[in-house]
Amino acid sequence: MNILLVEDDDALADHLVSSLQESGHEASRAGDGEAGLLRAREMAFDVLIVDRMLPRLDGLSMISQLRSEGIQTPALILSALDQVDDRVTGLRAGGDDYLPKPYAYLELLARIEVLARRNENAGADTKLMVADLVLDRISHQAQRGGEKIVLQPREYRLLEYLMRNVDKLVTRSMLLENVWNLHFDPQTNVIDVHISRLRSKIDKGFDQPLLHTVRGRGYRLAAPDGSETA
Amino acid sequence: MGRFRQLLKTTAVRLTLIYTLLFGVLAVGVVAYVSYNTGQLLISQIKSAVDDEVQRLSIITRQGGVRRLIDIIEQRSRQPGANLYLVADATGRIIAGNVRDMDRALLVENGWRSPPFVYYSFDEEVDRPLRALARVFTLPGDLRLLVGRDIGDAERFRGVVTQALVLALTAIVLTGLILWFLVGRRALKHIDSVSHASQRIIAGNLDERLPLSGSGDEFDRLSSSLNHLIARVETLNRGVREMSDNIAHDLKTPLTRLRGRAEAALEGTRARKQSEAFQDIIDEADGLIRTFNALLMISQVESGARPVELDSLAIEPVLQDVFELFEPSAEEAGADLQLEIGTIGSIRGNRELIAQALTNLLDNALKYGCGGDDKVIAVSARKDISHVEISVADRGAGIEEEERERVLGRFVRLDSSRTQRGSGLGLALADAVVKLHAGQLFLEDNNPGLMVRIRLPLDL
Repeated sequence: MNILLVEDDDALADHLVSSLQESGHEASRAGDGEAGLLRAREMAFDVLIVDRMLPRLDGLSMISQLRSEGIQTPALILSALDQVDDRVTGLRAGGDDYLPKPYAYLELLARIEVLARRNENAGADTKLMVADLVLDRISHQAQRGGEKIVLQPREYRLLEYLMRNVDKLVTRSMLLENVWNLHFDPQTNVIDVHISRLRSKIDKGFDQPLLHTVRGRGYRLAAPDGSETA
Repeated sequence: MGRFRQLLKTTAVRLTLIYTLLFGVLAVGVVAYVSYNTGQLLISQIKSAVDDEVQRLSIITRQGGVRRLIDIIEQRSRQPGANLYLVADATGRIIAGNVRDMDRALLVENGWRSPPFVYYSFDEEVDRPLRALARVFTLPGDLRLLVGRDIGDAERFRGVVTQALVLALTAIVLTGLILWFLVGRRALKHIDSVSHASQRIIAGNLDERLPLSGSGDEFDRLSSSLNHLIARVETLNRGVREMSDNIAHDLKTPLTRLRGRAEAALEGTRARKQSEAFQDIIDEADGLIRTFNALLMISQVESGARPVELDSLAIEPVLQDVFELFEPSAEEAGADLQLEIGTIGSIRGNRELIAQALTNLLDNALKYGCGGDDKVIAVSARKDISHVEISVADRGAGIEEEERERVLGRFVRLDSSRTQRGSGLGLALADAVVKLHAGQLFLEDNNPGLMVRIRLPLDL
């Protein structure tokens, strides 16, 4: 991925840029809102990571400006403000995701990977497939190895989100936001229980598990090595 | 002197001065008006009296001639309180009448002599110039006749009226001044005592209250509002102090754990052990961040410094979402999670905050209310005329009545719950959220267990 980081704090920006490069992405940085605007206009990035408070032009204004010019590069807003309705104002300004500081690097990485992917397959397939697991997005039915799996409505949304982001790390807060539309940390293990229920439906009785727990980080739905993923 | 100057600066005294000035100008105007009009009235009375007399004298002259007129004049001149009469020849020699002397030039022309002129009377007792109004006529034989009236009485009457007015107005002004002064001094005294009390409060004595006189006047009302303000500040201040104590105390535990794990990581020789220790450290740090986030959120919600946007919010879907989020966890814990929703409407609210508050209540019920054999959590929602009422009831150990107020505070954890992981912020946040929505949160006995009941005003 080609990532533009718009961040005024040097230490933080350097650290983040090198971490992103280590994770195999191309990352460059702009130090203020105006520079960020210029860079985002002249080059097609896959994702923008924009700090909310920036010199010259704040992050939200920068994003609104880009959107008004028809530039739809997905943008993740970083904010130290963390006010109750910051997220709402951030998303209203044209941001696509929002992460309060301090954040975990892996959370950030997981989110931008999903953001970039969302951009590339915005057109929805009617069927999602991971190995022998198939999800029909029209009939809301799932089957694995030809066996029908009965899903509750919420389980369907959970599985759909995981399958749309196959092979990607999906964190608990991403699941809460996208499946339950709750934007806070419930400080409990409720998500884990939902996942283990889903797992018992899609993995139980099969040799190859598809739904993996990434300890301390989240979950990943992935086909076993060597099998094909659609 | 300083006190006097201070008094001069008070509003009451300033108003007094303005009042005095205005009233003084008005009073002078009133006196001048009354005095002038009285004078005019008296003069017109005198003139008409003189005109009547002239009328009678002209009849006498027509019937009896000048000789008869002079006789009558001589007669009338001697009556007490008589009009003024004077008959003189062309040279100015006085032939008859009761005027001893006057400016003879005034006799040359016919008509009214005005303004009043000076004359001297024959009366021995008043050997001083007197003032009169008179009319002059030419009689046959080139004689001059003057008929007039002394205006001394009229002028004295006018003087008395004017004086009485001046006295009355002066008395009014003085009374006003004294009253205003007293009021001003009373106000000043009151303000002085209030400002002294304020000084002590500013110095940090938040227990102090502004003095009330007990009269219920404007000053008392103001002081009483300010006292409410001080009480609010005191509560907030105490909250802040308690909270910082609690933060210091409650963050020590996770920080100690964090430090211990870092040490373990440092000493750990095997890579696997080390990476596990680092994972633990990250978990601890995440826990701390969550605690701070919750704290920040509570204080944001409580302070109301930046108002949260409240939209019309249907409660039922939020409740369903949160309920559904907890269903598997409850099942895993062996608890029977029940939901009973009547027809409930919408409130003006923030979905995130309401969902967070409900999540905290359900989380608490699962953590602390399912320790016994009877593991039932009943969530119900209904509405009355004005409110939506949501209750979350468990059948656990409950909370002693005297503890119920306290557990709504930040970082308050009951001893019985210490074994469970938790920040001690869940109920505090729920309470703050409910308050932000102008609602109320009650902790009640579920016999056995705890019932948390929240009431939120309907969006009508």
